[in-house]
Amino acid sequence: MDAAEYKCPNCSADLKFDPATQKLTCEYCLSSFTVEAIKQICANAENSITAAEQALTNEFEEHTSLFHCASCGADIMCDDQQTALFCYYCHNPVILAGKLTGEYKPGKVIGFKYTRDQATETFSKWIRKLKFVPSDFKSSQQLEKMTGLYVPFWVADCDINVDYSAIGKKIRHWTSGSYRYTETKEFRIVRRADVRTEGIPADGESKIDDALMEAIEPFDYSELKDFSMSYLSGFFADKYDVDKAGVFPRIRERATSASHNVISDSISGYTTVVPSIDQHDIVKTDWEYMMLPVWFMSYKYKDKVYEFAVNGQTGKLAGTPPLNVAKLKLFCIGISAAVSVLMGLIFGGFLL
Amino acid sequence: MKKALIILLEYLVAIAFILILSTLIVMARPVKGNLRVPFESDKNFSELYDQADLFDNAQEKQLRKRIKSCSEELEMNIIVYINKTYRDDDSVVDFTANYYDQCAGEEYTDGVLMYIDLSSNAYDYISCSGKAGIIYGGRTEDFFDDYALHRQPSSQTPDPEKFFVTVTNFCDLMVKYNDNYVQSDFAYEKDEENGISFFNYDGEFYVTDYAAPGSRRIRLDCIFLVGLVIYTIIYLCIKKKYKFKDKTNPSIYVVNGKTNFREKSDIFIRTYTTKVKIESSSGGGGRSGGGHSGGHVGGGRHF
Repeated sequence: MDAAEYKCPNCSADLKFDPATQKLTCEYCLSSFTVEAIKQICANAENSITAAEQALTNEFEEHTSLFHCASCGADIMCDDQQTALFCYYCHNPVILAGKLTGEYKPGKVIGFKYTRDQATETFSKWIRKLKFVPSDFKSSQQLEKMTGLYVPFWVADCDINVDYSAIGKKIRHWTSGSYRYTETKEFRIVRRADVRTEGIPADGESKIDDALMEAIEPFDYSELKDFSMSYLSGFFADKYDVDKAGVFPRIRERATSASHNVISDSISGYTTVVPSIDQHDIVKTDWEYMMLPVWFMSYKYKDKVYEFAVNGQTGKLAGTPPLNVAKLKLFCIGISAAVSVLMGLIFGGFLL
Repeated sequence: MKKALIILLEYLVAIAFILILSTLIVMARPVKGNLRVPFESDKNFSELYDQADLFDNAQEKQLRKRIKSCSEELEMNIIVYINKTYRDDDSVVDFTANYYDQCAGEEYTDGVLMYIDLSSNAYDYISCSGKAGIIYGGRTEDFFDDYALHRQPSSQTPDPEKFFVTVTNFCDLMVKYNDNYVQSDFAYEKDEENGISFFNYDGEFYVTDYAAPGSRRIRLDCIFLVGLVIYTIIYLCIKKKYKFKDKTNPSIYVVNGKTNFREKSDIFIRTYTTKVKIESSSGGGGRSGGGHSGGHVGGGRHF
């Protein structure tokens, strides 16, 4: 058989047959499957594109415009009724680069629920507490840079097979006479579980900091809708430049981290736990490509770009505020000088 | 790495600035009022007091001559007191200070009293007054290291010949330490009990009842360094607020209804007990060092 015909169900990379294990393995995400299992999965995944879906794809291709930033390489997508003038990452002008092909059409979307005014108010409240940011960071011109952006996300549902074994020790100390006693009870801890995670998102845009997008989670997927061009009206969107295979390591890390937590939550009462087997295999991943709403803003300070994001559905804000170090140092010098003078007066007589 | 070096450099600059600032502040205040009574040759009361009747007349005469010549050379009074009656350490400190001032007839004169103890638990002591306080007061440990080389231990029967060498060696050490004395505007000694400071400032020896410039500078440095620590704490606390917030915990994506344990067991394997004997600890300590009394500084050692 030609193993290269099969794609990895987790990350869509080519599967290769490993003679040693007699399994099909993915060199990219390290998943492995028996030949029978992969045939079954492929048979289930076989589908046909309906006429309605084809119509949606055609509409997407006809009514989206793609603008390209020559400075940072970002691709900005919007409907054909509006024009992107500047890149919201680096604030340089963008140029019309043409139309998008149907492969970039997302399946689902969550519309903006949090308005621009609400987002700027959230941001303003946050920066009001920050006394040592650069002065122009708080300006109204800066707030005007807040842009409504649909960020392309790969959202994964993972089935994780967990095999865990450990030695747990319960240790008790007591003193009797002139001896100190230590009693150790050893237990074999075994956990075998099927853990299911649903809706772990990973943005498919390399320009946006992954941590920033992870910080504004979660999104409420109960408000997911089938994608329609009407959602893009008045907003911008990003074209993904990281595919499923590219985001899978992030998904795997987060999914296995979640399953680790499930296991550790089920173990309690031990003084020490030393695992001997701690295996978390993602056996199946279901993907959905969707656009999620984010109010996005960037700020350039001393050659560094600071990015801020507000969840367009929940209003959760994330970002690293720029620090005016000179302002902070002056403040600290003032405080420490005042304290020094006060100490000199209180403790006396250093001039005596 | 580069950032760490810059921070280190900033702190070095800050510390240098603190040292310069404290020096300028201290030097801006004039030093005035000197309690010290300078040595006068015609009032020289240097003497050998052999209370143990250790030396014969010839030895005493020779030693007195040596002590006088040393006194004239150093421009300070020198009293050598040889005692065979036991006094405890604190009494020795008080006795030497008082005896010296009694001989001088007034306080703060330039000079030393060397107390040589011939009792079984010998505690030799040097009490310094006036300019001797700054020249010898801070170096008594070094002084006694040299002095001990020619000092007969108290466990042996006192040999007049050996103690003759001890006294002449003491005079030699006085000269040596005086010759090696390096003047510094910020070196000082202090009689903490009486609040008397001994220092050299602008080439002049001072005995004062106010803090020496060196002491004031140290206090200022400490205050400024506390300021620097406060600066660092405030800076780090505020900077921490300008860090990125934590990421979302992925556990929120676990579907509890679709997560099931196929096996969940905690099987007891074994138990064992160990015991360790509790060691009782005990310790002790000794006492050594110097003291101060009535505008004197000094130090001593058991022999």
